[in-house]
Amino acid sequence: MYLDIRSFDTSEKASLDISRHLPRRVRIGPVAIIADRPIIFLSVLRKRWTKIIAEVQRQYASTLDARKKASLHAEVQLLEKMSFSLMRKDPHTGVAVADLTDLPLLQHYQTIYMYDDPDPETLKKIRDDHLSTHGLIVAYTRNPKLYIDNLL
Amino acid sequence: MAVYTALLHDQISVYCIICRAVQPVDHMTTGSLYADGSQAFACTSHIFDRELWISAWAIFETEQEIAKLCREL
Ligand SMILES: [Zn+2]
Repeated sequence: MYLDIRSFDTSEKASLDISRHLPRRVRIGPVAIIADRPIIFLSVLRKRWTKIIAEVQRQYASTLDARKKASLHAEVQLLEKMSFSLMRKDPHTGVAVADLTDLPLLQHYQTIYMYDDPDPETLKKIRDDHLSTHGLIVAYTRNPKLYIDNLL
Repeated sequence: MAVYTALLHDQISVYCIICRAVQPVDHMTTGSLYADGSQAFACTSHIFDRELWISAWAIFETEQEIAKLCREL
């Protein structure tokens, strides 16, 4: 498994970061996000996603490089078809947002984003029961030690 | 200011798909995968360059998809 730890002083910066990181992961396989307020998180993420699509479209329109244009076109298509949902509403969506009370999750994920720190035992269970082989955990945390000590 | 760390079991330095530098893993951010399924990385600093970040990964991923198809030929 891989662990990517990212620390931010504001939740705004953290949500901007995830919106740039997530497009790189959605094409690989299902994504779960564990956040303490899933409904608010989902609504911020949807707004950021709309902005990212607009940015890719803007770049697509302004580039003359054929290779870049084709890649940006594929990127827009991928971003537009991505579905987001609360895990309790649709666990099999492309990006499912849950809180710690929604555990255990229903399937394996290629990428799990942690926006809320669980206790060590729960963290190990998330890795062992819900992360695909060679999967990635991305932790937005002020407590990196929790993840390093329990996952690596 | 953001602080990033990327850690993994067995690699100390990894290759940036954007600027091609080889850097310690704690300067790098995970991205998508190579055609063979291994993890690709980019320097963390690039994530703040919105335009570069988007286009470089989009091009990388198209290339990996082509490589994947060629492997299946
Ligand atoms: Zn680089």
